[in-house]
Amino acid sequence: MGLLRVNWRHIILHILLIMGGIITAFPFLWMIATSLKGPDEVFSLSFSILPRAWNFNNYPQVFEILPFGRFYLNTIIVTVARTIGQVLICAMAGYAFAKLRFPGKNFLFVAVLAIMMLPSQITLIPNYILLKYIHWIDTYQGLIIPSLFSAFGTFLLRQFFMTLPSEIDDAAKLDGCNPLQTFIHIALPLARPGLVAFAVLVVLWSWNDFLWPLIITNSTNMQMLSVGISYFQNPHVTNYALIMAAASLTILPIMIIFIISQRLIIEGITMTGLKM
Amino acid sequence: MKKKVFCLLLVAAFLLSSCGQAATPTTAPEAKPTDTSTAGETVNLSYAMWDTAQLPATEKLISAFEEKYPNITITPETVPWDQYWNKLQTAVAGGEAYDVFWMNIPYFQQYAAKNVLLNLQPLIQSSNYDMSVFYPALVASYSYENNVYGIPRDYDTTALFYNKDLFDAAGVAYPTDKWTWDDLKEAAKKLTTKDTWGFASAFGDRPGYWDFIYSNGGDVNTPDGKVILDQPAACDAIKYYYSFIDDGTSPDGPTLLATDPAETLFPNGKVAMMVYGSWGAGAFAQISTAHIDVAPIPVGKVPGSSMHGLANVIWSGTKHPDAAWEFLKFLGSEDAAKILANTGTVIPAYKGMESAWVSAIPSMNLKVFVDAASYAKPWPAVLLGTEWETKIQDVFKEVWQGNRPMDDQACAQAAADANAVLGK
Amino acid sequence: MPFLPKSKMARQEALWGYALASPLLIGCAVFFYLGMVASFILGFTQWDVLTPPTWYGLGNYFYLFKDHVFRMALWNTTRYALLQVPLSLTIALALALALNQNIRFRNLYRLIYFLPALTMPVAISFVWKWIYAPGYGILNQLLSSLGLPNVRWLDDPHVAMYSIIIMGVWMSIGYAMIIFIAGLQNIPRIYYEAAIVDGANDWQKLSHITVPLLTPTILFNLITSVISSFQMFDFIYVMTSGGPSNSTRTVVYSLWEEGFRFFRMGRATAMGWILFMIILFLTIFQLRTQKRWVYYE
Repeated sequence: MGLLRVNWRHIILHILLIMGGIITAFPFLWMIATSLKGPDEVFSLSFSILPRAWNFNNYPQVFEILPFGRFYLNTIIVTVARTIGQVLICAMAGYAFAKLRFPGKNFLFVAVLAIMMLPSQITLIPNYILLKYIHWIDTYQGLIIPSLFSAFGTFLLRQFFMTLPSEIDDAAKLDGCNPLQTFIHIALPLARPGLVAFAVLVVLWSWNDFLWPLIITNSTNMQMLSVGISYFQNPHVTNYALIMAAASLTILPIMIIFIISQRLIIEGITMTGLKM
Repeated sequence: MKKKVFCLLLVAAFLLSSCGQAATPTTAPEAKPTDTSTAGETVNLSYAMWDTAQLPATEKLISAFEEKYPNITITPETVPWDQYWNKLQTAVAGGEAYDVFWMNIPYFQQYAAKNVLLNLQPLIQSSNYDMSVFYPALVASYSYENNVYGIPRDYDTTALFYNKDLFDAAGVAYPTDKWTWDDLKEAAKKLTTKDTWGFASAFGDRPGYWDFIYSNGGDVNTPDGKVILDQPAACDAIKYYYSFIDDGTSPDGPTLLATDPAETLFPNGKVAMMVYGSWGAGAFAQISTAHIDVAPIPVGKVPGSSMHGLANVIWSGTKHPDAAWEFLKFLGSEDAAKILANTGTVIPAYKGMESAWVSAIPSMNLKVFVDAASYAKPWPAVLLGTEWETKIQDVFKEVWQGNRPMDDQACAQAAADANAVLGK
Repeated sequence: MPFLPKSKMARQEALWGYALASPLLIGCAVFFYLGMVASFILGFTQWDVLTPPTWYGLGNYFYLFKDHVFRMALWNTTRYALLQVPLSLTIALALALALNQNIRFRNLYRLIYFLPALTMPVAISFVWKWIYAPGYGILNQLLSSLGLPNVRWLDDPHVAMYSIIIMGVWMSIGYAMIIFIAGLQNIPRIYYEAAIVDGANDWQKLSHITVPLLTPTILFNLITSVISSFQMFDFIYVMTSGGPSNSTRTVVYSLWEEGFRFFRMGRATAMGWILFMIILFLTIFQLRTQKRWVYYE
């Protein structure tokens, strides 16, 4: 009796998930399919997902037309640096906002959140001028450092740290730990799901970051993938198959990172003694 | 409190510094800026463009130039079209733009008026540079207050592309240069079958309804910059252009808006004719499933076509105006035009150099585009900026979307909105 | 330092607090606040970007208060947020709950539902244009095969915004989902085990343990979704340019057009700051009312 009930629920769940999954993945599949079509076929009016003539040529072409390998390298460097930096800086600040008391904390927290609330387009030029002043245009520092300070990340990790019971902090304090040690040895490990989720998102945003890298890099060999893709758009003729190929190449690494990240998270915290 | 004051001071410093940089050109618009490079020292110029497809041609030009002038090196920078203008603005605001860069007519006036471009008139006069080798319409388009600010690079015109196979299948004679609007209508009807349309009234001003306005003897604007789309010559032309949609001889408006017919319906043989620009010839020639050729736009009252062209300009704040001028002179020379023509990408603005481009695709009567240059009307350079064009497009987009009828009111609204923005 | 607490323990804690938060705060000050203050001042100027700004006082703000197009943009933006946020969060939460269970192919499902978040607006908008296309677009073909009339997804002023909302929901589910999953994993298993011992059924587990302990995450997703939905720009820029009939014109699109297309950066900046005030108000409201429903351990 019990067995039958579980099976039905799971089956219905699977059906729903599959249906939703097809709808969700469809635009993405179309994108890949288009990247495999020849230039003639990209706009066939009849609804055909699969290419009539498989054309794998677009992928090597992408590398031929632009230094795509270089774009990959730049994007990886910037992304790794941003991820490590952001996670560290935002975790520290998030912990401080969550667990420590200091005057002006609430005001400062809202001030940090406020960064997210102003459309970035209107601070684009002032920030560009700032970077020009300190000669960070067209450099890795210019791409990495200004992006290390994330209000989103601070907020996210603060929420996670706030769920940690205060008994743990008290215990640590009694043991003679200062807040930094508590942070490193106790809070960080416990907030693992939040940290991993945040890291994945930082990787994602850094990977697809477009406007800022576009404005502050000039030379082609400093460009990132996201800007590289837009090179395939010309004012009059756009080779959509190439753009789709470039976009697909761009997505591949993040997909892999996402899959890896899911393995890093252990289901539910089971560290005995620490979580009550 | 102290922190706030300090921050304000820093900000003020930034604003002032950017003001300082940008203000330098306004102090002496007529005087020639001092060249900071000394003879014999290597000078590096940045050269910005937006078309990756023309990068190989540009690199050929650069190496030819560098051979002649070994102490000047050029660094080409390709900026994606969509962001070219944003990036240019930002660079100018930051006080450091490219030394030499591409300019188009819609944006030219604004940049020239704000002293972002180097006035080339004194340089032209002092080096006796011959401007008569370029089409006068183009030179005029890149002049501001009777001073030339840009050396024309290339030009394009519009004409009627048609699918020979569909004509053969329907037994209709190919378009000729004698075709009138009525001929076009008739042919479109005969070419419209269950699966195909005779014509595509693609949404757009150029290529698009402006071409027909010109062919109707009308104009988009008066010489002193007032938009006159509400006049019958113009409005009737737009109505004629849209009438194919009403007839059913063209796909409907929403379909034409969803994707560019030049990239979809026409190459796929779903549409027999459409008006498009010379830049599309190369792509159309490569279509393996159809034979495309081109004829002049049918005559309404007069032969009509529209012309546009790019120019090379120099940033007014460049540290090496002499070197930049040498580069510009080279880019406008006959040798450069030859190189450009041989790559078959664009029609050089240098008169008489078109033959290489024309013979690049023997299957197409490309001479049509060159002939059109003699009567084509250039982009209305006298109208400032791009906002007026956006306002007109907003109104007619509604028509194409099926949200409002194509009538005199639409024309009147478009003209009124555009003129309001232009202050007329 | 007069404002620090008196007791030594509290003072030490406060100093540690500043220390840990300082890298972030200093970085924000340099790379954000400076720019924000500059842009705030620019809101009181007229600036065509190519020449220095000129003082204009409250002129931009006066203009915007009277401008009906701007009011329409505000209304459209609000409409977008009102629909997109609840839809996204509900679907994302349901997905997270479903995909936190031990079912087969769980990781594959997670990847699939995360995919929209991975794609770049530039590339994927082309696909969506295809989906929404009249006649041969997939949606309309589906409708035709069911005998229903075609819908002008992007051309009908009454429909266009909903088409954009669908895209927005599709794109944002992945983000919210991944954070919800993290939040679910943050709930100690011990609670569930204790509940089972007490004889709780699935519904009780959900309503008494999962949801209450998930509220910090829900609050986070709510606040960040509101903030980002009010700044919707990418899809409008690529798909509709604010049309038809300004029905999809959002504030950030107007802002971009004014500043970067029409060279009126002063007015654009003022728009941005008006939007900022609205978002700030909404965020503070959510933060203030969180005591009623958010449950930290």
